[in-house]
Amino acid sequence: MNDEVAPRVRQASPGLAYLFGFAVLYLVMHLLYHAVPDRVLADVVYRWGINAPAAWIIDLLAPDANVRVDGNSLLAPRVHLEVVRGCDGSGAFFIACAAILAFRASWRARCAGVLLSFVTVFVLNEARVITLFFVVAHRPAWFMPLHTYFIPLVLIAAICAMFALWARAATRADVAAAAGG
Amino acid sequence: MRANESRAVSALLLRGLVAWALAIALGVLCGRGVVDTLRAAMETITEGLSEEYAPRYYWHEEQPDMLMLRADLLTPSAVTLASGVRRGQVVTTGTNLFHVLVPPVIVVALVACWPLRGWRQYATAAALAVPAATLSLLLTSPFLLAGKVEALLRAYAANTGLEREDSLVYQWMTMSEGGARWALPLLLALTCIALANRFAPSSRRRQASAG
Repeated sequence: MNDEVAPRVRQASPGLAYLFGFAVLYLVMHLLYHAVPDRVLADVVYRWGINAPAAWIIDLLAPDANVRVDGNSLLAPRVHLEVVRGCDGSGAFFIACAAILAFRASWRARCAGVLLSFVTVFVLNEARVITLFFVVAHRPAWFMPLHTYFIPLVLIAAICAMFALWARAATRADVAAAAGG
Repeated sequence: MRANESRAVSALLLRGLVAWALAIALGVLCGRGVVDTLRAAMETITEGLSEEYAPRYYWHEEQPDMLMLRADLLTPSAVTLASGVRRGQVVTTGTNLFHVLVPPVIVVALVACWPLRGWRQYATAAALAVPAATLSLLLTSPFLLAGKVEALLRAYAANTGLEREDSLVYQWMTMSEGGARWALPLLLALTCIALANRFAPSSRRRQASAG
């Protein structure tokens, strides 16, 4: 790595105050999320926000899969996939949001970061649901390790990478703004 | 300069990818051994979480990746007894080994891929990562399984129209399974990194302060 670049890339180290801010923000978001009734999540968010787009994509990829949505469930002749609280990408989204909101950056950058997190988590979660649908249909034995181990770890790695790229861009923009001002 | 910086960032992302893949593989290869080593500690923690039962961890005979918790009810609460559960009754629940391993793998992966300065910081972070990964497992899995036992006892009570008192174990399990089991190891790993930065100055910084 170039010597001039390395110190700037390597200077980022989390402060304990940042970690505390991250934890508090995560807790607040978690509590707000748990204030949402199960029925609202199942009948509105999971049905229209997660399952309907996933079913539409599955239908495009495999029209003979005969996928249909029933509330928080994705159904097909050999598949019954249920989206439940905690399996909806909310955990990853709250982690990304807490990390971004606790970061010292302009509010504009933070809002952009939250929006970016939403899009990233939504896309990754849809990819996860669609992947699991085909896994249950064709390789049910793979479901458990994928669902409980590999996919969550890939999701967290992707969120960390997204945060690192956002933090770099936000810091750069703030430095440029300060230099310009 | 900009091309150099892009190369540096790409190198970091690639390194992150490799570290993450290696940590995942490590979990697959050594996970069962790690859980076996920590089983006694998990039992001690679970024992401290409830006075109602004596816990014992074991592997499911037919599904070797299932870590089971057997809870022998010794002093069931009044509500539990009223719901028809008897002293000496056994409640069993379980979780998948891979599920147990996610928090420690996150700690190891993040510490391994974080760019630090010099071998002192890497050695410090690595030394701190071992207890942090252990702590991440001990703060999640025993609580998950104790929370599942609590959920079963709640279900028994609910069947007879009774309600068990709200327990912190159950609340922590709900929070943990809702995503805190990912946030906690991230926090622990970042704490290791922050401590390594604070207490193990890089050779460059030492030279600067010496000069």
